[in-house]
Amino acid sequence: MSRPHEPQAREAAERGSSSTGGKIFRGPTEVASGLFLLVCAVLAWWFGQGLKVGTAYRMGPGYVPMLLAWATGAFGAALLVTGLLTRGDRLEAWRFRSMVLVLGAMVVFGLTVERAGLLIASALAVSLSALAAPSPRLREVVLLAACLAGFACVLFPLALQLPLKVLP
Amino acid sequence: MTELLANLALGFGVALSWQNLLYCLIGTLLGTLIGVLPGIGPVTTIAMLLPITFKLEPLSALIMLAGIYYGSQYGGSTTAILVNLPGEASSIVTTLDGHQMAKQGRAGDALAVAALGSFFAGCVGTLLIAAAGPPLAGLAQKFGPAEYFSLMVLGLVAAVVMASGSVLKSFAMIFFGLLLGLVGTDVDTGAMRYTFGIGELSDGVSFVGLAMGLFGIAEILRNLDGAETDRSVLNSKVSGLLPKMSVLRDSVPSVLRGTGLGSVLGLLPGGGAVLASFAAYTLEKKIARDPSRFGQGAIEGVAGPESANNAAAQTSFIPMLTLGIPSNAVMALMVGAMIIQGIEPGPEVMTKRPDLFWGMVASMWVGNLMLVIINLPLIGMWVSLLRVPYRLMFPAIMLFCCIGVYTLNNSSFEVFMAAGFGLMGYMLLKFGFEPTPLLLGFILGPLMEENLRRAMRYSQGDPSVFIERPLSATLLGLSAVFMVVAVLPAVRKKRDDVFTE
Repeated sequence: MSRPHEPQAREAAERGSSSTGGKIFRGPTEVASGLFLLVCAVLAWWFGQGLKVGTAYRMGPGYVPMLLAWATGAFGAALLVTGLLTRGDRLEAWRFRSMVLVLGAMVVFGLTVERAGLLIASALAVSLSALAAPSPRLREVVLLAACLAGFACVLFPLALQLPLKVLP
Repeated sequence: MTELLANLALGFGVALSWQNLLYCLIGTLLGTLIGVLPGIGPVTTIAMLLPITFKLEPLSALIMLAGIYYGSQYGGSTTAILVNLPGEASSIVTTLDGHQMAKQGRAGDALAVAALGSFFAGCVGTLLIAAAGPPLAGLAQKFGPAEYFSLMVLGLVAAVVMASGSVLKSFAMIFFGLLLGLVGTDVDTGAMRYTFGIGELSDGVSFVGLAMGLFGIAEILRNLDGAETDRSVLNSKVSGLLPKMSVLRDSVPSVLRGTGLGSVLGLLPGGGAVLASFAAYTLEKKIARDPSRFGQGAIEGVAGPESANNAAAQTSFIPMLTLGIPSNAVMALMVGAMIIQGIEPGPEVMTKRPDLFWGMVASMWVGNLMLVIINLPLIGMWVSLLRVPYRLMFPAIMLFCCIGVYTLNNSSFEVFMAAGFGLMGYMLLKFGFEPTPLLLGFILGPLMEENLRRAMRYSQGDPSVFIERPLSATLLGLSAVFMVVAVLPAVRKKRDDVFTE
């Protein structure tokens, strides 16, 4: 299902560096993933402070959360140490354009669907997300938005009888 | 035996109603469609359709969702053979010999053997579910909370060990999933956990939003990272869909071996179609008299893996239907679908809702038959669908995800959650984490906590209850063995070989 990531591989080759091992850390991916888990664990621990822990016999609502927060933290620490000590993969490049456009399109859909109705919300979301393609063609995007919005309005409220407002 | 026949009769009785036949047909057709299309898989599709199934009868919903899963196994092989592009991860190995056969003008043979092998394997897998279901469910009904907890530990451990990727990272994802599962009202005390005063979170993190974000949206972002792949379709006409006897004779042993191997691997937690197809290809190559033929268009290299992945797709329903334990992401979604329908997954399903269990078993056989009959003549149509470029596909996937998750409660909050989990899923992929263990942990987390609490209450806080009860001790022992095996360097190397070959 996933496609080959040739651009990244080519970039790495052009930079003339080996494909593994970072400049500062030996395993940048491991360091980043370890830090991510540590942050999650600390958040879980901090926001779980208000919950009663109880005993093993009578567990309070905070017993399992604390257990899991510590365990997640331990995994985070283990990954962090692994990343600092052993050679690992570089962090893959992020493509911010598609992130902003696709996730933004979902947010726009959520914000508009109640007031503007399904037709407009769908058309907006589709045209916004379609711009995330490597080389979007404007006419194609407009056509796609019109077709998909029309199709969605026929399929969901009409054919599947879902309670959706179509027009503003 | 007579009981089995009576049960099957009950199953066919409900599965053959015109309504359920229709949903079975929709499911299998949809499954084939997304199986053919790379960039969208059964997990995304099932997540997208979950909200729609809300309005259906439970049995119709499950029949349709199951059809998507095994239908995608058929569809995936079509693209693998004709275009050298695996539509699904489970048909990656099929490209090796299947596409070579197509290049040599034997596409018809390859497609027919793949379809017939899959059909045979599907039938055997369905029979296995029917035979293994009742005894397993009977055993599970003797389980107390300690046994249930240990069983879920085994399920999670095995799921990590059998899957690809770093063992450490997969375990970390299980715990992260368990943490996410905590959000919401604590069942025991009614206390709010990690809800931050947001009313929508008091029922917990939305399962549909999580699954869609992690699989549907993150997958879109992941696919947009790469350049658009060329999907040049093989132009030669597909002929000879009725293969010669000699071809069939050559492939029968491979089909049998693939079916056996796939059935066993599908049964194991964490197993499933992908692992089965890889293992079957390795096996066929190992026992072949002339291994050098592999990669040059050996029919065994198509027959074995294609039978194995379908058998495994079928038998991976067994732990889910009888014990309520999902073994892969698709089964986790099926459990989610049952919960949405108000059915508690577990051994009681078989006694309380026999029509549901047997109806599903019967529908799988019907669905497999439909797939063979429908698919072979429709191959031309499926292949022409491949000309739809991804830049037109992903906005549609995104839109259907949005509408689906919105209609769940008519709440925009769920759409924002799905977007948030999409971002998280993309981050996790970049950090080298697999999303499947997270989903399994999320699904099993609340059940595990409940059983842990109950077991500890019966034992008055003494954790030795888990090793004093023989069944629980056996299950935990097995988990320990799996864990040791996963960490052993020799096995790890072998496991990597199987996945990279």
